Amino acid sequence: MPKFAMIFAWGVVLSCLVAGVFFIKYEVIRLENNLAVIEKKIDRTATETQVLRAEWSFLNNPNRLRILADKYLKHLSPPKAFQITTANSFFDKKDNENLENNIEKNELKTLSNFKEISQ
Amino acid sequence: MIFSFKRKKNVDADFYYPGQEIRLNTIERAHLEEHAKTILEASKNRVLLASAMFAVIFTSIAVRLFCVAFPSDTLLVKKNQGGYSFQKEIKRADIIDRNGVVLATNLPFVNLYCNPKNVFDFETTAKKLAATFPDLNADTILNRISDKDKTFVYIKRNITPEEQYKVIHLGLPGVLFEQGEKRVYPLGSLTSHVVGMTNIDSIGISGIEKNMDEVLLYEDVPLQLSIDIRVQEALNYILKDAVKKFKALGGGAVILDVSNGEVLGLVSLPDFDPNAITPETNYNALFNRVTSGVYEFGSIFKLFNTAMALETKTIKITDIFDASKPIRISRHSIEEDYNSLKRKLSVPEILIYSSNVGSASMALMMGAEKQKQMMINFGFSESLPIEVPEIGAPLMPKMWKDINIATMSFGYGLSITPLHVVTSAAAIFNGGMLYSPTLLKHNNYYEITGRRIVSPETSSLMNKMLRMVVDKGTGKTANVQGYMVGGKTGSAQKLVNGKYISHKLLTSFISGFPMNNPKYALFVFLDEPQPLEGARENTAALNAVPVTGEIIEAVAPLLNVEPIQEEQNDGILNVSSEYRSF
Repeated sequence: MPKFAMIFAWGVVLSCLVAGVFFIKYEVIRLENNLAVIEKKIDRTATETQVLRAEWSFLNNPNRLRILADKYLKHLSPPKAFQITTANSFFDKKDNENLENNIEKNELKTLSNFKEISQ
Repeated sequence: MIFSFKRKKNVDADFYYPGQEIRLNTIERAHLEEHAKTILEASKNRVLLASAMFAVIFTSIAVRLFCVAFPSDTLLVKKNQGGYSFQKEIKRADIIDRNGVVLATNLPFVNLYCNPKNVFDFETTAKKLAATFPDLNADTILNRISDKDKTFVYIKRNITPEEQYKVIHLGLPGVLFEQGEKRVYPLGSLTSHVVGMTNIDSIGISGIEKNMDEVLLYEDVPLQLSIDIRVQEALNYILKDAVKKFKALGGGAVILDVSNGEVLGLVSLPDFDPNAITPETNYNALFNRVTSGVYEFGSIFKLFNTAMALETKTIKITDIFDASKPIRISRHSIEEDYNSLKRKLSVPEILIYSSNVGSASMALMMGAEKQKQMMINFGFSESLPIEVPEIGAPLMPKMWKDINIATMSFGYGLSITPLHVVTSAAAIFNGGMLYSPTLLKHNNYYEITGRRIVSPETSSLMNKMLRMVVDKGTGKTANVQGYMVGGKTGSAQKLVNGKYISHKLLTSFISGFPMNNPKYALFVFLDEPQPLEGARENTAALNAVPVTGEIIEAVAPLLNVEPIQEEQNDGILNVSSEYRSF
């Protein structure tokens, strides 16, 4: 390869490198700035969230809610123990026995039907 | 190959055959050699010079390239512009309740300061500022800012955005703002005695804030407490109403999860608003009665006394004690406080009717040695390790004579904190395991370890008897339908100048619910409640007990306690009818 070509090739490589380095440098600066802006925004949003959380807690002060509930929910009151019950206690014991008997009868009936059909 | 250079031979020579010797005559050669030498010398020097120059140039280019390639700080946008800093400011972690409600947080605030060197007219500046802040005096401001040697003087810390806006509009030279932070308690006085507060520099000075100062400063995650804000509020407003209604000096309430010692609510009245604390704030309001107040609790101790006697096998549940006449111990006489039944009483009856004589008999049978050991076992000899710095140390008697043994059985002569009462009672309720009370929510990283103080059998007997106290005895008004409350009342006379005063009472009620499988222990006490109009007495049965009933009715649904239907009550009531026959 002629000397000239060599020098030319090296020159091209070098200028490419230089250009690349410059490009990267300014890209880094740009990204760093973006990062700074984003971090600033994050910080601001975090502070705002904190203020809102405090406000939320302030507005949800159970004392305040109780006073508001007394004022606006006059027809509602906290549940009393007797208002809470189990599904079983909907039927009294006699009802339960009847129900069980009925179920048994029905089962027998179905069973006999089944036998009849199968015969 | 790019890097190999081929030199062409004999470029200017005549034609030679391959391998033919090239001859030169000697003179010619000598001449040539001399000539060549000078030329070579010269060119060598030139090449050297040129390469040196190139070396210098390329080195400087390389150095420059190196510098240029790495972004230097000077070229970057200043990150500190606009009051923004990359370095995170020292922030204090939030404190939240067990459901995540914020109890304490840091909010950005602005401090107003002055650089006296830039102030033109001190008097006008002071006057204008005083007009904006009614709480500041023009003379005080003038005094503060007229020192020309200083460059930084606080005028007011933590001003509101509205105030800041007003000051900006005043356009005063030398008056500036500093970004700052302030600790804020959104729920005000609700958790004042638990969370505590910080000083103006955000350093904890009481409560959790002081005890957990380092954790709050160095950890980023919020500190989660065991307190449930809904339960706390129920305790707070019911107790506040009671203090007002009975014109009491103060009071306290604390509710504990008996399975792990977590405190779900802790109220001490009077309380204070940590957002608005001033030097004039009453010291009394800053005093945490629940963790640091030590009191003689009276009859509440019959519960512990009976448990101790059963646990040490001094008595059996079927034993009968003669409570018909007072016990005489040297010069002293142990008598019943109210309405003596003047007959023999069974062990459950001693609790149900709160018999001093019966309890003293049990304690005297037990003796000093066993009683002292059991008191130590129950934790009445030392302070409880809870996460607030305000901790009271119990006052144990110096001597254990018969009279001390007897009076301690019904709660005189030994002073402990309300927290001691609820902690030990919780152990009796839960089957006998004593757990240290804690204000922090348990995480699953470690197992909670308890210490056995009574056997499951003693615990079960005690629970049945305590249920009977509420069902039949002094605790009737706390009998909330469906939640099977059990407990023991106490109405202790207060010691004033070495004398017990009969109308100055500390009334209390320790309760557990639901008694068939206790989940929560609640302790309520009132300091010097007055009798209501028309009532002659001010004992616990008339104040602390109904207050407990109200609290349980309010908190049990919040705590997901399943109500027990009337029919299901039979189990425990049958047991009580067994005891009734004694």
